[in-house]
Amino acid sequence: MHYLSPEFALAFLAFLWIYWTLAAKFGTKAQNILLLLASYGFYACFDWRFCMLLISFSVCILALAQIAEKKHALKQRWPVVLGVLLALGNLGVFKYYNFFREEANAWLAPIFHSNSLPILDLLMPVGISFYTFQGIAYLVTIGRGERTSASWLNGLLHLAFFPTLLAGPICRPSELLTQIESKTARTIHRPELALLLIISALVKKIWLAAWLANTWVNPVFANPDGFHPVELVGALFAYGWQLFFDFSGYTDVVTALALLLGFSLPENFRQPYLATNLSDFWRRWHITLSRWIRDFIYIPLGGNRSGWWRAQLNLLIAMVLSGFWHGASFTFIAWGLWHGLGLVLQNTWQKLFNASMPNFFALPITFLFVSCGWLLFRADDYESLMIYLNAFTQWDNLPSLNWLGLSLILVIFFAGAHNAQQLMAYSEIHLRRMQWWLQALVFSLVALAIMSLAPAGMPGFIYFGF
Amino acid sequence: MGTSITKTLLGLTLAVTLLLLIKASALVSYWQQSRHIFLHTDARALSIPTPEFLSAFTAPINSVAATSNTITARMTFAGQYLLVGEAALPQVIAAPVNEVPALPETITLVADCAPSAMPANSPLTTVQENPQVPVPVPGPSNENFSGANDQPINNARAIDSVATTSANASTAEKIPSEDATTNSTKASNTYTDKIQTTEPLALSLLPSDKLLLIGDSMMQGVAPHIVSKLRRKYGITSVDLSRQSTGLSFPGFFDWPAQVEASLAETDYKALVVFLGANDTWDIVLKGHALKFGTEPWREVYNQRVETILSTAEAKGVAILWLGAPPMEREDLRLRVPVLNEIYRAAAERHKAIARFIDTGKTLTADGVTFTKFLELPERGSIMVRANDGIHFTSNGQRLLAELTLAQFTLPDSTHVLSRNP
Repeated sequence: MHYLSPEFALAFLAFLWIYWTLAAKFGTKAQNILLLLASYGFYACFDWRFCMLLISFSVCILALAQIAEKKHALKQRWPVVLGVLLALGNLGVFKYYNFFREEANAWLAPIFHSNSLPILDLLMPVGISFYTFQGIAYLVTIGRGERTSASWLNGLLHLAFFPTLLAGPICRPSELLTQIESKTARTIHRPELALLLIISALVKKIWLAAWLANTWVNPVFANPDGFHPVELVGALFAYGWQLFFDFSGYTDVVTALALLLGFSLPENFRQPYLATNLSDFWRRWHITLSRWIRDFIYIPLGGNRSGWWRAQLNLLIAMVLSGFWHGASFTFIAWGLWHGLGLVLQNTWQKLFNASMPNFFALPITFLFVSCGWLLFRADDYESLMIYLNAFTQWDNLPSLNWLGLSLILVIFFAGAHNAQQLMAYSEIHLRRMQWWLQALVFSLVALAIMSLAPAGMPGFIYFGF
Repeated sequence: MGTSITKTLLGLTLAVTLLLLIKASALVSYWQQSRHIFLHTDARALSIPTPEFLSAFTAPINSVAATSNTITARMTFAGQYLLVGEAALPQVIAAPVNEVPALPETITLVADCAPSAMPANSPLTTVQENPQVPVPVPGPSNENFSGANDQPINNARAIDSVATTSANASTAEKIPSEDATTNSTKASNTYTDKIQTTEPLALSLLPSDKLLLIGDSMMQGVAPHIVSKLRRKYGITSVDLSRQSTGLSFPGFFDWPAQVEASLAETDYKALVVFLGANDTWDIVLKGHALKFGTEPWREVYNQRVETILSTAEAKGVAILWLGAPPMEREDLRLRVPVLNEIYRAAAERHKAIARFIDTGKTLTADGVTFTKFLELPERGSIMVRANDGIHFTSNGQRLLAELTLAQFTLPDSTHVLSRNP
C-alpha cells in the first residue's frame, strides 16, 4: 500500500477522523497509541514478519538506551556500542548477507570447490535502512547524555511512525521524538501547505517522474546501444531529474501526512540541482541522510580536526559508506567513491587556488558531475555500465527521441527549481484566503488534471528499495 | 476538535469524495485488475455522467496534448536532422521521385492478394533497394517473388524454415547447445546445461530481421537482455513492447491481441516472443460477470485470446516463441500457473508449423517444476535467480531466460553449423 495509492488515501482519511476525534476526548496519549497501532498495521500490510523484526529491534534499542542512561554513559559505553553493533548486524544480515555470500563464494571457489557459506533466503524488510539509522541516532544521543530516554510507547512510535517508516526522512530525536512526547494538544498548523505538498507530490511523482521514466530513462537504459550519444546524455539528465522528482515527491507526501497528523518533519530536499558545488549538493540532497553521515561517521572519525589530509580520508570513507548504505552492490560503492573523490578534488582545488567559479559555470559542472554519478547509481553491474559507456561511440545511430524537447524541458525544470519556493509560498497565501469547500474544489480539479496528464499505472517509489 | 481541524478534514473528505465519484469506473477497473476485488461489478456502469463543467475543463488539456504530439513529432525530426543530417530524411524521399507513386498501389495489392504468404512490407523494401526493378505482382507463394532467388534465406518465411528443419530434426536438436557453447560469453557457459531445447523452431535470424517481444513485467526484465545481445552481437533489431501489470485477463486495461495485430500490420517482423501470465491467474471479468479461474468457460475465453495472437501471427507468417510462466513461490500463483502453461502449450501445438511453447521451468528450477530461488550451477555454485517477490527474476535469472530464448534461433554467425551437418 503506497502513500499515493487510492487505497491509502481512503484509509488515511478515515484514520484522520478517528485520530482527531480521539484527541478531543482523550488527549495526545490516546493519539500516540492509535498512531502506534496504525503504524504497525500499515507495516503489516507489506509483511507481518517485518513487524516482528521492527518490534524486536525497537525493544533492544530502547532497553539499551535506558541502561546507557543509568550507567553514566560517558564512562560506561558498552550499552551504546552493543546497540550500534546490534543495529548494524541486523541491517547487515538482512540487507547485505547475500551480497557478501555470493562475493565470498566467488573468492573461495578455487580453494574449497564447494559452497562453504549457507544460503539464507532473506527478504529485505522495507524501510530497514531508515529505521536502523534513526534508532542509532536515538541511542547515541542518549549515550552522549544529550537527552533523557523515551518511554516505551513514545520510543516505539518514534521508530515506527508510519509516515517516515518506509523511506525517511531520518529524524533526530530532537525533531520527531520531542513532538511525540509533547503534552500540548496537537493541531494542524498549516493545512494549506499540506494540500500543496500533496499536489506537489502528485506533479513530481505521478506525472513528471513517471513521464521521464517512460519516455526517456527506461527505453534508453534498457537498450543503450540503440541510441545516439546525445540521447544517452539526455537519458542520464532525465534520470537525475526522475530520481529527484521521485524521492522529493515522496518526501513531500509524507511531510503532508505528518502535517495533517499535527507533526512537522525536517526538510529533506532543497532544490539540489541548483547546487554550485558538491558539498552544496549534499547540503541540498537527502539532507537528513547527509547530516546523519556527518554526525555519526564523519565527525566520530575525526572530521577535519586532525589535519587536511586526514579530513579528506574521512570524507572518502564517509561517502563510500553512504554509497554502500544505498544498496548491497559494487555499483553503489563506486557511486559513493565517485562523490568522495569529487569532494576531495573540490577541496584540493579550493586549497590550491582559493577561488570559486562563477555560478553560471559552477552549476552546470556540478550537475554534470552528479549526473555521471547517477550512471553508477543506476547500473545493475559493471557489465551494464560498460554497455552504456560503449554506446557513446555509436554516432551513426538515428536519434528517435525528442532531445530538443527534453533540452527545453530541462531548462524549464531548472527555472522551476529556481522559483519553486516562491511559488509555494504564493500559492499557500492564496489558498488560505479560500473557504474550505473552495479549497477542496480547487484541489480536486488540480488532482484530476495531473491524473489525466500522467502516464497510466501505479508507479512505485525508487527509494523504498534502500 | 477545533474548527480549523474540522474544516480541514471536511475539505479533504469533500475532495476525496469528488475524485471518487468522477473516477469511480477507472478506480474499480484498477482494483479489479490489480487487487482482484469487485470482480462482479461492471466498472463501466459506474461512470456517472460527466458533468458539463468537467468536460469543459478536460477539453483544453486534451487539445494541448494533441498539439504537443504534433510539436513533438516535428521537434524529433528537427533533432534528428541536426544530429545526422541527410540520413534523418525518410528513405522514400531520398529515392528517385518518379518511383514514389508506385508504392501505395503495391502495398494495397499485397494486402488484398496474399496476406498470408507475403510479408507486408517486403515489396516496399525491394523497391527501396532496387528502384529500377519493376515491382513484381505477388502471387500466393514465394516462388513467384523475383527477389526470392537472390536472397533465399532473407525472404524465406518461418514456415519454410521449419519445413526444412523438421526433416533434420535430430540434427537440429544439437544446434542450440552447440551455439551456446561456441558463441556465448564466459558466464553463460555455465548455463549451457540448463538451456536445452527439445524441439527447436530452428529459425534463422539475419541482421535484416526484426523481432517483436511482448509480455508483462517478467518480459520487461528479460527483454533488455535479448534486445541488447541480438543487437550487439548480431546486428538484429528487436522491438520490446512489454508492459507491467498486463496479461490476457484484462483486455480493458491492456489488449495484447489487438496490440499484436496492430504491430504486425505495421512492421514486418520475423518472429514474435511472448512471455506473460504473472497477472493472469485471476477470474476474468466479462460484461460484468466474473468467470472463475480455471473453469471451462474461463479456459475457453483465455484460450480464445491466446489463439487470436497465434493466428494473427500465423496469418502474417511470423514465427512465435511462447515462453511459459515459470513456477512461482506464492501459493495462489504456484497452483494456477500450470493451468496457463497448459493452455499455451496446447495452443502452440495447434500451430505447430510456426509456434513453439518453451518451458521456462526447466531452465529456472532444479527439478523442472518446483520454485527454486537459488539455482545450483556447476561452475558458479548457487546463484540467486528469482527476486524476493517469488515471481520476478534477478539479473542472473533474466540472463538465463534470455539465453534460453536466443537458443531457439539460429543466429547469423552460427549458420555454418547448419550447413556443416546436412
